[in-house]
Amino acid sequence: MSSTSSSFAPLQFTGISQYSTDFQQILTRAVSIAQIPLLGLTNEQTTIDRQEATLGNLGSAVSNVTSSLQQIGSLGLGQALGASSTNSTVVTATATGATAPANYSITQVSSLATAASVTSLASYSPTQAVSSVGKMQLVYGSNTYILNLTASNNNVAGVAAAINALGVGVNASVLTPGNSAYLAISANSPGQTTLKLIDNPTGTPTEITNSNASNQGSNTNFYLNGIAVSSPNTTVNSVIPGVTLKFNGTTAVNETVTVRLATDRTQVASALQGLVTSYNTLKSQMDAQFTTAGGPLSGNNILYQIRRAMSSIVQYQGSGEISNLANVGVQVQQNGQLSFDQQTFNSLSDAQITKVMNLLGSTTTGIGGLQGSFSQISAPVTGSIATQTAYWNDRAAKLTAQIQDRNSAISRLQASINSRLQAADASIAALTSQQSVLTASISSLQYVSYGKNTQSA
Amino acid sequence: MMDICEPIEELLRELEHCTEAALAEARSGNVLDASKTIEYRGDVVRRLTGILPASTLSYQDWNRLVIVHFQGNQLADAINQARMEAAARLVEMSRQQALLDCMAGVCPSSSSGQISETA
Repeated sequence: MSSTSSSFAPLQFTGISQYSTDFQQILTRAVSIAQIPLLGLTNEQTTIDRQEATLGNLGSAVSNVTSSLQQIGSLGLGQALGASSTNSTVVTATATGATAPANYSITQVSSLATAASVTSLASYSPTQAVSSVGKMQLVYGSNTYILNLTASNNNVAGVAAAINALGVGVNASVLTPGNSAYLAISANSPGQTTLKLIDNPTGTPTEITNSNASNQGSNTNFYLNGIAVSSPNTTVNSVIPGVTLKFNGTTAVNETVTVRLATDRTQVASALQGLVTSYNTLKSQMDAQFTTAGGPLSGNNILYQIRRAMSSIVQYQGSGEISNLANVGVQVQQNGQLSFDQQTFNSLSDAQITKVMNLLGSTTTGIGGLQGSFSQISAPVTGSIATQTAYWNDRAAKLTAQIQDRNSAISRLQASINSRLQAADASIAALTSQQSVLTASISSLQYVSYGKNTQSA
Repeated sequence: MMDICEPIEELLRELEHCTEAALAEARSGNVLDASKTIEYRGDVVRRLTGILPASTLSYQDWNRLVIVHFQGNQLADAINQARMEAAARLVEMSRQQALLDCMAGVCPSSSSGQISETA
């Protein structure tokens, strides 16, 4: 975009001669007349601004088509796999990068991961000592932590605070049912572990919490394709490559839950619809440049570059049974815009859907590979649009700098000329006065010399 | 000739000298120097008229006075000429400045980004 230069302040001329007012009027009129020949230049500046704005919108539309094609390429590369589960109340599955269809059986989900949680066996009054000797030991997992208590914190609240201050992944709190206070300790993370609090660990160790087999946390235990798996979390992403399992419940007796990795038609349909939408938006903007009157970018080579890239989409022809976009329901209408026929797509068999993946290709092959042509146009720094915009900005910046320099020089020159005008104006007034004096002197001398004024009629 | 004519002769000679100098400066476009010389000329004129006698001047001094007066008119014309040339130059500078400002998008009469043909 162009930037502004120094603002124009009409020169004010003040003088003491009779010509001062006339000159100011001349100056004002001259400035007004000067603006008339500027029509072409200013309109050119405005045209550049419109071109940049139009190119910016076009660039966004091209980027959207690029993104649509890249998504299509990614789907093609990954077979558009989606994960599903036959019993989501037991387990849900999400494809996170799997590359081949597959089926997995999950059985004997016997437990879900839970966090360990214990409570003190006894209740305490607020000031009652919890430790008999002022020393306690927290056991968490395979680690032990010593708590040295003083008279001020050897109470249920103080012990809870001391445990929390350890920062070892457990949270201690005080439960107050009625007038009693119990110490509760919970692990922050699920998983089978050991959690208990022991008093006098170096003397006669006595556990003061109610640890037992049911409150020491548990893992998610299940069988995957007959292989036993135990995980401390309910979300498991380390057993099937590219798949995340989220366990929600246990299986019934003899129940088998099947997790299936298969091409997700909805993903493909959504991607194709996305391509159609972004293509049509770009088509509409391009049509505006090729009207009879022409748009701001008429004649710009970038338009022809975009048109060629768009043609490559609708004219793409691969090989095999599913070889072009029409085979998957993308049609070209009379006005050149695309439409997506969901019915045609839905009618494709599973075998044909597999072949659709070849058509979609990848980021370098198939329909997805066409993103390269669009990237060359819309790439942020090296693309055609960015290069053109940078050129216009550079031109505008240079012009602005030249204008500023020239304006500064003109202002200095105007000041110099103005000082000469002021001097001339004062000189004329002085000369008028001097001439009047000399005229009077000559007239008086003529009277003296000749007895009359020889210059008067 | 009266004794008082001698200082008059010197003043007239001085007046003639500075009038010629101012005329030369004005004709060469050096308005600033001409302005100073004209100011000095005014001082000489005031001194002269203060002692100008009621008696007759010599022909030489009379001619000198007439020539100075005549050259004074020429000097006024020359200053005026230089003034008009400076004014024309200033107008041209203003046009250039208005042109550059509108090229930069700062045009006093432009509100929609387009300038109409009417002035």
